[in-house]
Amino acid sequence: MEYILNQLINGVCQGAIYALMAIGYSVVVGVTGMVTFTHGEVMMIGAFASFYIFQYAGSHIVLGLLGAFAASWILGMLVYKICYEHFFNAPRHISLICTVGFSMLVQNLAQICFGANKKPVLNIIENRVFKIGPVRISMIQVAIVVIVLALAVLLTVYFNRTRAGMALRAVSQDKSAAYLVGISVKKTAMIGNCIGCGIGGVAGMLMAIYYQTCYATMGSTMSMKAFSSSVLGGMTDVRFSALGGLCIGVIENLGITFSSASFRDAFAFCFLILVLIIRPHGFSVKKGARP
Amino acid sequence: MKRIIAVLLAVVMVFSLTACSGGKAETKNRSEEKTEETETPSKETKKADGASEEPIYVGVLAPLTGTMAEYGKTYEVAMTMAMEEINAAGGINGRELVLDFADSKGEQNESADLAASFAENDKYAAVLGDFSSGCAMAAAPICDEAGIVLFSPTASNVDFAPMSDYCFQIAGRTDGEGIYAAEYIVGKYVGAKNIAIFSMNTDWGVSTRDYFAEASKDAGLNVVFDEAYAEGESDFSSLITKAEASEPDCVVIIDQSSTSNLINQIRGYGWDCQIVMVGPSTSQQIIELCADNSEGVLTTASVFYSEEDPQAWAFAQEFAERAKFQPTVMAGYAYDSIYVLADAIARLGDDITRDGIRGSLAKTDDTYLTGPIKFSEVGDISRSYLICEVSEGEYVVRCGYDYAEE
Amino acid sequence: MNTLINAVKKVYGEHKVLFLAVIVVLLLILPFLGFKKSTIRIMCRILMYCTLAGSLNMINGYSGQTCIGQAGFFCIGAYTMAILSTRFGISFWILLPLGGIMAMLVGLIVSIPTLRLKGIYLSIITMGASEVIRIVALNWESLTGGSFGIKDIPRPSAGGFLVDSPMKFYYLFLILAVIFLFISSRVIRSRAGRAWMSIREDELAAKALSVQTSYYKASNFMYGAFWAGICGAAYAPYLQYIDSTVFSLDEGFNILSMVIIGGQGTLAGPIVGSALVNFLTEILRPVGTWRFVTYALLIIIMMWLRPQGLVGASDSILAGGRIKMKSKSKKAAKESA
Repeated sequence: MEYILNQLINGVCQGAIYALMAIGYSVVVGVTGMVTFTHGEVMMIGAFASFYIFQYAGSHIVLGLLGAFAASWILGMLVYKICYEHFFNAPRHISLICTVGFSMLVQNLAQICFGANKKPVLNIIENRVFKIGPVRISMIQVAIVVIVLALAVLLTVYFNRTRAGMALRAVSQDKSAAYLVGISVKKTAMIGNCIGCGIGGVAGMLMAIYYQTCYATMGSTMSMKAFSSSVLGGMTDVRFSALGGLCIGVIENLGITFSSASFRDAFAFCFLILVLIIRPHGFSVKKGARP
Repeated sequence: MKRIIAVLLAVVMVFSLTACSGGKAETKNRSEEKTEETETPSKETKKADGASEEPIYVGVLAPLTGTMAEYGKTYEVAMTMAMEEINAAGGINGRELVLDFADSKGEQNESADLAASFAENDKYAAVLGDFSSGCAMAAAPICDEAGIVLFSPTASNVDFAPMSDYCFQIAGRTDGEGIYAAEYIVGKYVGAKNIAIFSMNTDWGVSTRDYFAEASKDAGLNVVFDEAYAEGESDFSSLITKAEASEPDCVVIIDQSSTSNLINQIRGYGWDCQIVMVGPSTSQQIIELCADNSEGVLTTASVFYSEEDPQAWAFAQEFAERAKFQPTVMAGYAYDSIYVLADAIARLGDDITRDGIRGSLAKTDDTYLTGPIKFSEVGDISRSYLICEVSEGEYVVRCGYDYAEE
Repeated sequence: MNTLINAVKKVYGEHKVLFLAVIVVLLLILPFLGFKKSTIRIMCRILMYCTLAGSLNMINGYSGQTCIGQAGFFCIGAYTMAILSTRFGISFWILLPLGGIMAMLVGLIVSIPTLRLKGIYLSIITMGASEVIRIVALNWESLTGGSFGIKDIPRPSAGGFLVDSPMKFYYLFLILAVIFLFISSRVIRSRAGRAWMSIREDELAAKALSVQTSYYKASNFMYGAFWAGICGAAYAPYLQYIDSTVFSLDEGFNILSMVIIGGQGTLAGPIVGSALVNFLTEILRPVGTWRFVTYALLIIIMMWLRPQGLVGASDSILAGGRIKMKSKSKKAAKESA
């Protein structure tokens, strides 16, 4: 029983990481209405930005956070300009291939600029392990869960209570209608995309700290998980995407507990397919949600 | 603005198209442009080169881009170092050695195609690579057919060298390392009873694991946990929980890419157990990536870059400076492969043929940076191993090469 | 560039038969023009991807689904061939269609959950299925050899004639590509093909016109998967050694980018795409590690300049016909401002 409990905790922590990535992802997809495959690279850039900050300015987590957010914000602007802005009215597969191309570009450039080897990201947070009864949780795991919850709450408030957030939602729901009521669609979409990317960058940093390493190809496998998680959550809703990530994390770890770790991705995808068969739009309650 | 860009691009496109259509044949031989003047007529088949002033060309298959780019870089740096040293010392019998690197991206079909382009170009005396066993095995039938040596410094699949007379490898067979780790490190040195095995699910990982598990059964060890995970896995928390629940005395990690991750997570989880790693040898990267977490980790080492061995130490320093990262055991193998090949060619004197190189290479029997190299009948080698431990951020030899005989 | 392509298209339209004849003759004599073996191997790859990208085009281009997991079907075909020929020594010519049929069955299974889904939900299912297939191939050691892969896959032979050199494989792939193009060009003009296209243009309208969309979507998936399976079955003996790393998601994206670069929804699109992508990745070799940076840049530039693909029709719904409207409205907006 303790064992299962521990595994569940592992699953939740892993799920929290997926959720963190999926939140950023769903903000991007929600606002731009386009699927992106650059999210892994956005996270990677965030991780590298924080890595260099930690290296040259010491282990200041806040500084690293800001750096990661800023770096991926800038990358987000680039992604927006290159892959989305031009193609809002075009079929989606065009911007999809653009994002695939862009992610290839960033990944290969990063490999050339930062080097292909793994970089250590050590001792940024003092790694303390809390023992609550039979359960063991490390500091960074708690931090990630807390950050995910905080971000989910913050974004929900932002989207539902503030003017800028509501403008984002309006753009996300119907671009021409938003245009008609006087919202600057392009600017808003870009800011929304950048917010999503910034969150992705922070996720990248936390991942680098959690796994104590960062490297140029770290994004590629992770972005698939972010993608699946947010699909599970219905693509556009931040809270459901976080929930989707959590579910995938738990399912994967339970799968590993009772079977083999080489099937990790298979568990995730099978679960996803099963859910989509039953609920074609994931967990999302909204009918006819895009895309 | 848009129009200008469009016109510019059109010009670029047209230009590149004409460039390609004009040079379609050459594009397959990357460096032919620069060596056109030295090219020999194709009638002299199987002769690598005519006059003795001409350089000796060797093709290298390496994953310079893609997820395995780190190893491609290792190849490039280590081999270039060896090449420059050989050329500085007067080349091979006075002839310059030139390496042509081709990017296989770590993909089998690319590797096979590139091997074919090397094989049919008479200029190349031999082919080195590829990094992974999978790619090397895809290139093997082509090199076999063309009768050119395919010499992989790092492929360790037991099936690779037997595929053809022309296939050689010096990374040591997976059975050697696996069995040594089981019998001597875990069984004799640590004296463990119950062991947990983490292994990477690649051909190397699986076959090492198989030999290891078999040998540990023979040595009377009890394997209580045995799990494989996909290559590139980053999160091991649930596996670690699972392993810990089975209460082993010793954890064995059979991996080449995620070892540091796994060590970090085992320690981060607060589990203080004896860790033995098989695969990374005395890789400085592990210490760099794990820092304090790597204290007390034991490793099998066929290569040891220590200060006592000035040659190896100088190599490690120079490599780190050039590549901007610490050498792994792969770097040593790649470096040695050039010397092994150069010596084999040098033994031939002036009469350099592809078949000659094969025969001469098979007769290799010398000691190199990474230890003595003598090929078995099929073209692979069995290495002997040291036991090293990480202590205060450095590898320390605990038992010498002769520990197995004691 | 667009005018150039349109001009080429116009000339092509006027002398269609002549063009096709010239191309076929050219392709037939191409290997005899004194190319090196390695060049012929590249040509083999281009021809193989013609069929493979074409099979994806049948799904993406003609019924408007976005499948990104074509590598999965490819994998099924290749493993069918590899396993049955090495274990039981069954002839290549039996296994070739069998590989296709196996992939087709898997395509049917994959298509069932996708019937209710649209857009990106469908894409992710195909992607997931492709990954699941690859993971199973990696882990089912007793059947697929696991991470060791399957080696020594026998080369096809017909009555003592052994297909063993790249040149012979060139003709094999050429014949496959021609058969594929011929059958496909008939199929898309048949009832089924028209049904697929009606689904692509407007699924609701198609339903209203009593097109059984589920049936046709499933059959479309099966048709695409069938050819991908055949490609896999033909490619395995060519490589002689396969393992699961060949069929990664990257491969799926690679095939997809060929289709889109060439032009979805046209028969010629995937051919042009396959030729261009393979060609580019080869001629960019001299730039070394910058190869894929350059390649990625070219893809993006391509999408900006010709979003419908090189030979894509500019008036189809796939081709971003709406882009023009957009730029027009932008112009109008500018003028009014």
